[in-house]
Amino acid sequence: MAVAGETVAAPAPPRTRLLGAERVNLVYWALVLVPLVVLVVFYIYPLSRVLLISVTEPRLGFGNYVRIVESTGVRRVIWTTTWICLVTSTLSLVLGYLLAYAILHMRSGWQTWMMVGVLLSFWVSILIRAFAWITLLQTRGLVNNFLLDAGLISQPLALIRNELGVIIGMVHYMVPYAALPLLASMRSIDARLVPAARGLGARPLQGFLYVYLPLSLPGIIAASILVLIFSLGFFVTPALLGGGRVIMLAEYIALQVNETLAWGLGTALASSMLITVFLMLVVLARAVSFRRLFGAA
Amino acid sequence: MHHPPERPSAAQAATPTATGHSLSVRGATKLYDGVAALDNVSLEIRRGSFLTLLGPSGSGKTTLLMTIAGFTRPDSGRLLVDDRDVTDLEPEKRNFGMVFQGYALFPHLTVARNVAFPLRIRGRSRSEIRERVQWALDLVQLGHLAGRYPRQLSGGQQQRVALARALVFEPEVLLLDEPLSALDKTLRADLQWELKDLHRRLGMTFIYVTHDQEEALSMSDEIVIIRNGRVVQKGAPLELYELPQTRFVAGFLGKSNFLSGTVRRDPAGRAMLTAGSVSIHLPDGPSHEGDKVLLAVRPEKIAVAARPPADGRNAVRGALVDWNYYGSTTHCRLDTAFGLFHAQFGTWGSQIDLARGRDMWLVWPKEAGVVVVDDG
Ligand SMILES: Nc1ncnc2c1ncn2[C@@H]1O[C@H](COP(=O)(O)OP(=O)(O)OP(=O)(O)O)[C@@H](O)[C@H]1O
Ligand SMILES: [Mg+2]
Repeated sequence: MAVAGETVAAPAPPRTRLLGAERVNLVYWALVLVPLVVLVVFYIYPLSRVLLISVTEPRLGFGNYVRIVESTGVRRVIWTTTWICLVTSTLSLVLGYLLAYAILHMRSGWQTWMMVGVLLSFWVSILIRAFAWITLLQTRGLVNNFLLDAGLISQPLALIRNELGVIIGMVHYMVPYAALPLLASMRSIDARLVPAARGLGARPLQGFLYVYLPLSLPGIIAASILVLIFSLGFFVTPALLGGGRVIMLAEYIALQVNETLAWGLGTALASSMLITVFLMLVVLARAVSFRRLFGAA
Repeated sequence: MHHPPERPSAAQAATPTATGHSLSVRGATKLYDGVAALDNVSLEIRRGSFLTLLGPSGSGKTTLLMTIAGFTRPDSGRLLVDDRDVTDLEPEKRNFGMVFQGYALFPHLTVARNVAFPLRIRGRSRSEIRERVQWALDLVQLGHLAGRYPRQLSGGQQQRVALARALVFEPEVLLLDEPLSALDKTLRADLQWELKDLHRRLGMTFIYVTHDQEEALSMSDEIVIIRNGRVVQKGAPLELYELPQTRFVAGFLGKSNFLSGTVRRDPAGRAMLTAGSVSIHLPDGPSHEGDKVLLAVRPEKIAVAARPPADGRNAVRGALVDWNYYGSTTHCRLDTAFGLFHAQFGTWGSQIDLARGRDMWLVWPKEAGVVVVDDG
């Protein structure tokens, strides 16, 4: 009763405040509209065109999507892409985890230099990196020459123009992308928890498995989805290091659009990929709220 | 509340077991960048006793506790549990329970699973784990919160979970690093009673770190005072409080007034401390005429009076600087020939008129003073 009375007695907000609120509203809508327009013009319109073409070229219907499922050629490309992406993501994740863990447990002087090392790699273009790997890994490249000279092998190893080369190039590119979200998630882990686990009887490995690993799980999920999404779209690296023998989805789509002019199939593939990525992002969003769940302790 | 049927192991665990172990630290030394965090520390800890490490910040309490726990390797020295050398044993093999400062609960596990952790690690059976967790949570009166996550608990509840987790596997020794320091005063007082009660019921050996001197006095069987990585004095609370050996101990554990002067004899041959024109009777004990001497007197053993005593008790004249009223007690500061003096008396029944600048007498029997070594 008393509470209700108080509510009634509360003075109405002064009018000037209301005017101020209206002005704020205007700014709010301006700030929302501008990016909205940009988004519509540069993303949503082209994207809807892509979707549209995929169901109208060469004729109306889902024929292109049926072809994706039925054509053995397309299926092989999807399979190659999936396989390479899974291997790349797994390797990048493991290496990224080790890297992040190492950085975090270094003395602070070393920490800075290792972070610089990781960040520097973002500045080197993917094209240059692919060529660098070619010089290193080709038949008469640095690696093979060294191994031949050292007498460890008698024939040069086939390190590029195959899946191995593509995976090496992609993993090299992806490791920092895996390491950064992991680093962020590991940083939020209380450094006393593993010692606490050991004080309670856990061996070092148990402390890692039962305490550290589960606490870094949100980072692992975020990193793996990020890396997986990134690696799905790789174009330059497979094209150069695969030497035309390892065709991944992005290159195949480009082929459909630029060479065979099969726009319908190309856009259908692109749309399918988009939907797949979108579904992964939904999972990622859940993982992030996961992190909040843990971080609040 | 729902009570599960008593099972044999639960019943057995709930009875006082006196399973504590004795511990001995022999000459532990630990250097950090050439500076000794522990300097030849030796301790004997009786089985089942409640031992407190007390010292100012940075004195090496945590280092000593971590050395005992096995997280810090001493540069030299040995650690023995019941005459078994455990110096080179990994922390997880020592079977000590540990409550870290800030609790270090696992945020991804519920209260029950936090408490179950040490048992799961030890591969105990599912039913045993359930029983023991129930026992430990009941012990700290948190059975109803078993399903919560640590972040959903108050500070005091988290502290009790940490305690339950450290107790559940019946460790040989329980190590506690300032477990109550983050709590407010009332809660801290409650948990002090609870901890003491737990210690009595379980009979484990407790090693407790604090820099709260009242906490140390009220809870311990034995207090070890540490300063600059060295053990300054150890003993029962009463002994340490009544008979501090050094100026540091007298000033750190409780408050003390210090009087320095030279030993002289009065006509009756009794030892006096003399400084300028003032002379004070020293407590009985060996003393040599002409020696420099430092006397410590507790504020609560000093009476404040308007007139000098007629019965030959020690008396020092001073002007009242100011006073603080604390409810049950009142603290005065007086300016004397020995510097600023603190006196404390029970407020109830006190007859003294306090007024700033007023000349008063500080009176105490000679037995109230303790001669201490001046260690700066
Ligand atoms: N890992 C370390 N590296 C270098 N110096 C250290 C390390 N750990 C402790 N010290 C030093 O050793 C000394 C004792 O530290 P310790 O943590 O044992 O103090 P403490 O008595 O627990 O203090 P507090 O009451 O503040 O917790 C301090 O001077 C501290 O700076
Ligand atoms: Mg400490």
